[in-house]
Amino acid sequence: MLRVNRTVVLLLLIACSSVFLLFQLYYYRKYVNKVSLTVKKFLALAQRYRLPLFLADTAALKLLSQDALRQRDRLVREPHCSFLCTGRPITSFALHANLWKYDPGFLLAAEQKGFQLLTLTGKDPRLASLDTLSGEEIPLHFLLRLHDYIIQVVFLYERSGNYMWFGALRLRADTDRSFAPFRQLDYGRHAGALDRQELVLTVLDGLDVRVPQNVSRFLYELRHARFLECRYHDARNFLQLYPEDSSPQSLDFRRKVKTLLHRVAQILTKLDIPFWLSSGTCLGWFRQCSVISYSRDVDIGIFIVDFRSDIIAAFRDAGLSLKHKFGKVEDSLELSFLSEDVKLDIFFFYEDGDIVWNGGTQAKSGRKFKYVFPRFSLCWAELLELKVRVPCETLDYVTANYGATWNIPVRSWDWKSSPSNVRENGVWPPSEWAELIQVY
Amino acid sequence: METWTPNPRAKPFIPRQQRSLYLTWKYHNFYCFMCAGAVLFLLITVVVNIKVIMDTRRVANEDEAAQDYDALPNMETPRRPANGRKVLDIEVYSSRSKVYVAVDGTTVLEDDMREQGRGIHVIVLNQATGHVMAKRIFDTYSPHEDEAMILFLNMVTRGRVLIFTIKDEGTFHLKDAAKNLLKTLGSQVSLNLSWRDMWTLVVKKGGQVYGEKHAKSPALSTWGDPVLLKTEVQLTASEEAECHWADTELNRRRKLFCSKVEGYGSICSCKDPAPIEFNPDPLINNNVFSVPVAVIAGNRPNYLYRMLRSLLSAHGVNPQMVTVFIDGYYEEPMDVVELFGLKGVQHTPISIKNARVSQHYKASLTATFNLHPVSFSSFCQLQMLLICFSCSFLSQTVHLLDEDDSLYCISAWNDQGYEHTAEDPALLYRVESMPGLGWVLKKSLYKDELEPKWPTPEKLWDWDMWMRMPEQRKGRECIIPDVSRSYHFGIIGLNMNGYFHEVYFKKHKFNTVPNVPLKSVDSLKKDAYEAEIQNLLKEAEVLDHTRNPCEDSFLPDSEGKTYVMFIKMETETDTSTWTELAKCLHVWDLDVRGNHRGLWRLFRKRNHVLVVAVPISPYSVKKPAAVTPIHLEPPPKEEGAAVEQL
Repeated sequence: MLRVNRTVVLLLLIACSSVFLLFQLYYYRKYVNKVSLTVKKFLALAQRYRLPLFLADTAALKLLSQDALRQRDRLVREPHCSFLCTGRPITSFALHANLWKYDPGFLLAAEQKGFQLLTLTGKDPRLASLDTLSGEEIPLHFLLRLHDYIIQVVFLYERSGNYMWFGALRLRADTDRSFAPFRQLDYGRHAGALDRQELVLTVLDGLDVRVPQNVSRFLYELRHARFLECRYHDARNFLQLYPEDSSPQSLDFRRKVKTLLHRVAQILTKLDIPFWLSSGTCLGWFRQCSVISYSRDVDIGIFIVDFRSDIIAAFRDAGLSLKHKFGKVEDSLELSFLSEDVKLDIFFFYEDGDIVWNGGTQAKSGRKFKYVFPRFSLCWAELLELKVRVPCETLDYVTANYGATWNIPVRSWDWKSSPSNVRENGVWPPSEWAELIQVY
Repeated sequence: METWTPNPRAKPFIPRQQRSLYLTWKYHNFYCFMCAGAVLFLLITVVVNIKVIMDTRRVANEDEAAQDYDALPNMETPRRPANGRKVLDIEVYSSRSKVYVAVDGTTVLEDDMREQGRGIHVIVLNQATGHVMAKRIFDTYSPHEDEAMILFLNMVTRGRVLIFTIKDEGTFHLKDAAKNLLKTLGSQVSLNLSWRDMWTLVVKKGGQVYGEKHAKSPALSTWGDPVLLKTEVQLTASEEAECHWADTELNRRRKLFCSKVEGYGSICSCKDPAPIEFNPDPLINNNVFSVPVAVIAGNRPNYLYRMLRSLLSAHGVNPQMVTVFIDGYYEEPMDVVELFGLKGVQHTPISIKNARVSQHYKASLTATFNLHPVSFSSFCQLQMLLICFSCSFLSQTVHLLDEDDSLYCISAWNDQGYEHTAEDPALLYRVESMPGLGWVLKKSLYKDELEPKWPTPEKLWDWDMWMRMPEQRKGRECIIPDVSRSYHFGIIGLNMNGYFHEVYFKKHKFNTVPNVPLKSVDSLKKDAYEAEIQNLLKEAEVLDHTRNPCEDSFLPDSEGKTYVMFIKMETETDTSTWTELAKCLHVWDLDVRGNHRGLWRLFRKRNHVLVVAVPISPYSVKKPAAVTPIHLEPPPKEEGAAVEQL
């Protein structure tokens, strides 16, 4: 009897677990189907309303990027849903807003198809300027939910600095917080800036989707996409106290700075070296959304890890003449170029524990200085119709450099004593002066 | 088998000795297989389940985490329920020096300015919400104003609440037709209204009279006593106040618009309303489809309405590229913009007078290029009604801006293109002056040159005068058509009066033929144009300079010929001969406009006439030695009618 019991028990167990397993398998298939069905439904709808969409989902695109594709063969995945089923309940698409005439019919149709909708709007950043303009809010994100699966449509707006902008996702107090796992969304924590993407049409899991041509480039850009809008409101207040100088000389200076900055951006982008606005140029952006007309030079920063020896040649080829070169790659490197009569200072920044510093050298005495900043990350910003980087923690950066009174213009500035973060850093040994202090 | 963790409830497996070896082996194997299978299944199930649990928990956690996701404070202002109260208290006051209207204690009209606001004030209220939908003054002391009032009252939808009140005098030119209309509306006294009477009336159009008060003027030299009318108006249900249009996106916009404002005629008609979406035939090879259009507007919603309607019905215009910039925070112009589903932007006014206009232009230009990062932009002043918005014209010429650096703009307006002086819709000119009405501008020109040095708010300059200054224009020229593509309908701009419009704009010729193919557009490039002028001068017949140029017989009765005449102009500022000539030709004579290197081109009696200024024009060399340039002096005494500059 015992034997029979045991057999029965075992058989029962096996039967139960098989049923359970089959059930789960069925469920999994349904999940897979659910994802592809939801996405399919959405894409059909998008096609009908001619939404200029492309797949912008980080997880899905990661599966598509070169490295992942190489490993693909070894990975056994569900054949029906190998790209879109990323295990997250979200797929994100980007929409080129300038190419789409906002059609509320799309949302109505989506609702009829069973999607639940959440439209998130925000202020139009293209109207943000020193003038006070106000227009209607523009759509920034659509969230469509079907069977607890979320499709995020992020609107990309073309901005005058030749880049695409997307807005931060901010919920209103009356919005349903459980609508979507907001934390998991790829887009929305911050506003961002991306370059215009070349797109290719491809077939993923049986669906026609457009994807960025260079997927890994796109994913890289997305990781560093955070964008800061200039603080126009504060800038207006500042300019009311200290009106902009509109003399022909300063107009001329501003024009030259614009040309120079555009050229610098072009050179350094080609070399793939990230740079940011530093010192006076950064202050100009932060304080007045423009250029400080009496500053007479342009300052940019580059991390020393990004230094490449062909920088100087690249600048020379673009018609900028080297004015001086101080320090060495290991210590206090600083380059200055001249374009027309505007000086471009390139400061190289050294990371050291929880601080970042750059060096300064006095040519005639060989004295060294050190300018210390708290650590910062880099964000995009727009200045003079150019997309440039600035430290994300701009206030800390500017305050470190100019003290708490950065909001008051100082016309007589001594780079050796005026900055509040300057420290004496010894003297270069006279034997090395010829090498380390080059003035042209 | 070693890896098998025994089930505590299952009995340990002990092979029986009694069985035959074969059977034992068989059972043994069978059991192992069964047990292993069962345990494997169990293990997989457990793992899968744990994963499912973990996943759900993670999602739940994230949901919780999402709770503290940055939230905006609730921007929605709490709105008082519109139907909270069903009755409106209305107070209307009429007197010689002051009128006011209060609805539920809120003053919706108050006018006690001296020398202003004379006539009949009319207010239209929404019968369901009590909102003010329109406010008008008809100065019925002056002629024709009563006709405008009739027109307006007829446009108001039935059922609206109308409030009338007279300030100072409102009957001198109030003709019988208007009085009869007031009578049919329900007025008891309208037929007896006379000189300097005071009068108020609150009535529902096509319905009951809520109250009327009248004070007769005792004598010609005195006014009637002030009257104050207090009355109550019963609000109706909102369904009754609305039309039953088909439920479409367009009609939703229409419904919103019609519940807010009045006086736009058939747009709000319940049966057969005027269209608000236009689908003009697309233009073939449309080069301007992606050119952003900025419409510059003030607080003139009716004109804005007319302007947008004609703009949108133009061939080749792309509504998505149209942005309306409103100088100030006015509701009604914004309603009009939303009615058409366009993008409207409001601008906080900076500075005063001309500087305000100029700052508004700057902000609008900047914003247009920000909104549409492309290389051209076209601008329309609200001062003009764009007929066929010259899309076809612009589409054919816009590439020139890129190809020819000596160009400043392309304009759809010819300052000298009057009925009697413009002929050929396919002909284009180059001119040194910049006609301000409806023009296309290159982004680089604005961003790199104009924007940085745009006159600052404290400079009370006209933006268009500033743009015409040599420092800005730098010798560049604009392309204009012979026959203007836009029609100025005047009395609207901030700085123009009715007389001015009558004299200078009424007889202007504008193109009514759509999609005219333009004559050899590329010949407008600098060098090609010079060659063309030389050819024209070569073939041109010199007119008889001994005759009076102001007389009709100055030109022979021919057709389609080219003539040339020479006028005296010693320096840039020596404009007297041209001004006198312009006066007798009845073209623009307030300043020198429309010339190209001292040469004007226009049509007289269907002949092309070239006017060359001698000696400042380089074309003076073509003057035969025997010809003496015409010299005209202004009449000794000028009439004092100084007209404001445009």
